[in-house]
Amino acid sequence: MTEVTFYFFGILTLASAFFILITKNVLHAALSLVVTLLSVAALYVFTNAEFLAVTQIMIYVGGIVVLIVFGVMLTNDVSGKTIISGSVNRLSGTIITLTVLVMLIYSGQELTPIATKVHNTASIENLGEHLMTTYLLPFEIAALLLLIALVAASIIAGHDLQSKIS
Amino acid sequence: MIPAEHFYYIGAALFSIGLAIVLTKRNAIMILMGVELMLNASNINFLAYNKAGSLDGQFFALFVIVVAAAEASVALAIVLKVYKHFKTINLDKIADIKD
Amino acid sequence: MALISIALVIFLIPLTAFAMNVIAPKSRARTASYISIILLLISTILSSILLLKIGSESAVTRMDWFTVGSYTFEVGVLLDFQGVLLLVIVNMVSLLVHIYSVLYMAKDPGYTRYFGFLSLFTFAMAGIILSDNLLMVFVFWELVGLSSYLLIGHWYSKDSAAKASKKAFIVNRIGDTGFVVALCIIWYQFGTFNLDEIQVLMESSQLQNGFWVSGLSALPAVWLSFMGIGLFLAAVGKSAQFPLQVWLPDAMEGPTPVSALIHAATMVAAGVFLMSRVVVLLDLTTLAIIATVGSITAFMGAVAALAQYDIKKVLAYSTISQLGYMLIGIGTGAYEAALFHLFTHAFFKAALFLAVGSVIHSLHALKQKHNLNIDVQDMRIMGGLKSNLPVTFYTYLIAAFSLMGLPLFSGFLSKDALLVASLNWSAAVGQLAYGVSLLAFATVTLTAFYMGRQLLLVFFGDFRSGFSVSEIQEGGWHFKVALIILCTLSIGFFWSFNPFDYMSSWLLNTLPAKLNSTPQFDLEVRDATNHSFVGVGSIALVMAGVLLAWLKFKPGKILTFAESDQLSFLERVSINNWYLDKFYERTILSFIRWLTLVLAQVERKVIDRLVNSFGWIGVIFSFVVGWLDKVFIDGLINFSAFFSSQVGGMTKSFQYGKVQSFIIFALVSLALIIFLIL
Repeated sequence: MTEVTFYFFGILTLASAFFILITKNVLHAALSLVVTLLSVAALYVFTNAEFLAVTQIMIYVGGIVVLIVFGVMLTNDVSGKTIISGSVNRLSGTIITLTVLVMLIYSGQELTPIATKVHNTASIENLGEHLMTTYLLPFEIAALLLLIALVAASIIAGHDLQSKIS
Repeated sequence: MIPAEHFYYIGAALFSIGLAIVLTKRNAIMILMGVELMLNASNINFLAYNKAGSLDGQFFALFVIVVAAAEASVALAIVLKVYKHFKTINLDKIADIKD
Repeated sequence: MALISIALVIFLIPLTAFAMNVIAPKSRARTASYISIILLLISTILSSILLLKIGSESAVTRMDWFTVGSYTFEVGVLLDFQGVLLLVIVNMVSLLVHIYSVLYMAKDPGYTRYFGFLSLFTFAMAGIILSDNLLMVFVFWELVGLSSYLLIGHWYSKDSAAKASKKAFIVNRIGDTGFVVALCIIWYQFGTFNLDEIQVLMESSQLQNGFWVSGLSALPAVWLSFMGIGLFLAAVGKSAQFPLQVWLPDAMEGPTPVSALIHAATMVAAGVFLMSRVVVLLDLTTLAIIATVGSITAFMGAVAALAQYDIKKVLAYSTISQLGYMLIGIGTGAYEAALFHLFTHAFFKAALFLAVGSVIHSLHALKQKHNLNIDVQDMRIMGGLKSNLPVTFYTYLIAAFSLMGLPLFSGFLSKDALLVASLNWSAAVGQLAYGVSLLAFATVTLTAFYMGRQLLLVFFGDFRSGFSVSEIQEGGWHFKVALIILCTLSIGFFWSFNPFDYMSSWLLNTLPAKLNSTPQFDLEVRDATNHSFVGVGSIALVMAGVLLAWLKFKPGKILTFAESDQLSFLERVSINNWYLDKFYERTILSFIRWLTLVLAQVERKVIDRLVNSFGWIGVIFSFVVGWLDKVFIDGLINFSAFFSSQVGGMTKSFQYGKVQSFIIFALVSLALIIFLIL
């Protein structure tokens, strides 16, 4: 049963990602991205990372996709007609992608899997404890990064400050 | 128990699809979506190859998600700015206009 | 085990139908709708089998869903008689509505979307019925709200339909707030959402010194009432009770078969069904509130139906009124009578709506044939349709008799049970409580009057549209099948072996008596002391109503319809639904508008200034830093910029400004490097 669910979500991930690749409609792509991200979240659950799965759903599906949809709407004249985006570099893109895929799979066989699943190490308490001890510095840096990103994004996209000051 | 390689193959395929999107799409926002897919692919690997008893992989993935959120917000802000300036977000056209 | 798998199949069939209709291409729309009819037929048969097997047993099957901290959340399926019976009704009504809609919606551009949402609606209702814990009930509850929103707004390009769907959605959210509050209290007090566990815990809980004690947890007794009122508020929203009934008349903007589904088996039934599920949790205060609100709603709905000219609006207000009856049943402790009325009402109200839909369909055809500018739902242009719409007329007649509560029809039985319950409750509680019974009995007359009025205006007399009645044609077999099945099931014999006595109904005798576990609650609602009096009395009241309608609208009489500004006071109150919409517009909505204006002012005057002053400090500071920058750092930067511009000039020739080509170059070089190294 677990295997069936896993392969179902795996195939769903790849199928919806592929749909993003082939569709021309940007909004359809954004919706398909939601499906991809949700099924990736489901894949996380199979690695005992429930917290990551929930985080994925909240940040990606709840945040980033909304941002992207807003981006689509703000950068297009969405008066009823569908937003179409074409593609370029088809041949070279395909060749490069296939090369990369072959290389990845080839090098993947060289990897020796060190993963053996251990339960109960990844409870939320455990994660939180580590976040506040072992990973305190990265945690603080991440906080700073988010602040910087917030300020930067609002300055870049926001009102033209210079014209107001002068 | 699902072998870790299968996670790896899914990640690899997802990464390649993301790469293909980045390489071939015209619309800047579609390219952003491709980048998100590539980040997700790397996250799958971080989690699948997490060492036994350790949480490093999970934290890597967590910070990747944080960075991705920051990246998406800044990138979309840039896209908006670009749109304000060039009235398009089609990368080819922008390259043409610049000259 | 077999039962549970049947239940899961029934649960998943509508979802399959939904998915199939959503992905079906436009060219296969009709095939998809026929397949979903077949699927629903299967699930109707399966749920009937389930009903025969379940008897008065109840079965719960659970599995773990997920674990948060130390708590494991379970999902499960609760099968009991009342649930399975409602499941049969939901599936059957939905099946008939599907069949009916094939013809009714035949020329609609949103055909597949419509059938998909119908199936989704059925799926959500099945979820509410089968869930064994309140959180899952809440999830499907919201899904019901969503699908009703989608269906009411089916013709979303029409402004009024879009507004009506929004209104239904928002008004329902008010009720859902109550649901969430109640869920919080239940979780705090019992630590579980599973219905059977809640029932056991509730029965063992006690009221001590003003505290409500259950296990280790104790709350002030007032929270028990809050919980009950919260749950009731949820039902008020979904089942359109006073003061939230305003969404239901507007919901008539949806296609007529959808109205049949919403009013009969799905949306509004959810509220009453929820109350029957949680009836053990309600204390005396809550029950009294429920009975009062129910009776007020029944009366207000009936009054509002009196003067309507829109053929669908009459039925809409009558649904509100009948739902009020069901809530009287819940409030007076006769939850089984309330369910009985819910089930009988499902059939005759669906029949009424589908009959009305058939009338509208025929008039619409006439309108298109002559390219007329008429409102096809206006009863003022109808009349004398009985000869040309025979099937519609007879089914409408039977269903209307059932709704009025004439003996031999199903409505008589259930309404009788409810009236007896309300009278016994009033007698047990005291003087003021007789108001509830009084309103309930008054509504009987009003119901008979407005149904008689509609019957006479639509089917008798002369056709008032200025055309010959012979041009009206009845719809095809899709309509007839649905109508005949529904009205057959509105006949009393199907519900009780003795169609004059609800006490011998198989349904009431199978339903387990779920008496309230709150202390000092000992009403015996199946008490038959007032039975014969109530039966005879209600028949007399019905006759009075019908007679009144006959005197006012009898065939052959020349009917004049006053303009809207010449109506009497009572008519104006009725046609505007007691001015509730205007009242909300004047009070709540204008208050919110005023609040937004005030908040906008605060934002502009206070917060913006604060932010601006911060900004100015930043600007001054950065001027200082900028000066330092220019003098010391720029020298260094300028040099590096010069250097990099030289380098850039050299590499420029590779680049022509296309980002994606850069990536390709980078990847090609990377691949080359890797191949060289390996």
